Amino acid sequence: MNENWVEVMNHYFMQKKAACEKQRQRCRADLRDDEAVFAQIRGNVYDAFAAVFSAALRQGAKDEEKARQFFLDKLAQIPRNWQTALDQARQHGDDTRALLEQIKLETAQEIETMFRSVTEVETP
Amino acid sequence: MTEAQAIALFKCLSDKSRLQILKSLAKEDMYVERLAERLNLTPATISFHMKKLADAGAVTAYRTQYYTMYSLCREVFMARIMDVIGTESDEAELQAQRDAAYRQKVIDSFFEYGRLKSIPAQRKKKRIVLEEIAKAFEKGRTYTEREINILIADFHDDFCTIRRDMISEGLMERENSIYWRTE
Repeated sequence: MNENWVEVMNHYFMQKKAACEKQRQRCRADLRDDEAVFAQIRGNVYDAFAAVFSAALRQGAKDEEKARQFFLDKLAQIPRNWQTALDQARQHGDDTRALLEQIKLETAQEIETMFRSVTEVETP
Repeated sequence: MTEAQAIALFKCLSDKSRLQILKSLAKEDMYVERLAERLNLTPATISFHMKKLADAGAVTAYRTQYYTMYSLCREVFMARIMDVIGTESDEAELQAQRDAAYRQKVIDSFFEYGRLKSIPAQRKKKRIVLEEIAKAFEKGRTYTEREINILIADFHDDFCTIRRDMISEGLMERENSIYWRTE
């Protein structure tokens, strides 16, 4: 396990949120409002999981394994609603809603991949 | 093109990515992955934009052996913006009905048995009342001031004020004490 995994993850979230905000502003300036929304959604997901990560660290204040497991559980739990929303959107032919849910799920997946690589936990 | 169609199309076009897609399709029909590569966007984003463009009638899709191809609906873009602006608004008839209903309401409020109960203070209502009184005068005919006063007095005792207001509202004209109704 990377000894500095907390620092690495915090830095990762900060970088990603900043990149999404920059992308959002660039798209707005370029009159690509829909893509600005996509960037904002990605940024919101990074923001949400950054908050969950902080909560995980508080939960496992002296227990790294507890903190890690807490975060992994949330990484599994939170996207379930988005998957349900994606399935419903596809069922009703709501392509726009489907794309937005897909963006959230892909972002969550990327966060999980990053977290597992930093904490050297095998992906199931 | 209807007003609703025009609004949908203009909204759809107010995006740089969609405009660039249309410019690409103006050259040749393309499929999603090709557009994605050309415009440096993900296929999912291109598909999103294609759906919006198709809903607005700007593009159509057709299947080939391997791909769904998109092509520009050229006839939609041949429409002149002036023609869209010149088309009577769907709202126009509704607005005319509302105006007529308001007008009747004012007349019913201020007239009783053909006589004016009071001269409205509000200009909009006064105009309606004066137009109603003006109907008593034949177009193309001239009247002396005495004749005008008698006719107006049938509606209200203050014929001076009403006569003056009809002149200032442009409903009547006067020259050398001869009056006539404005066309």
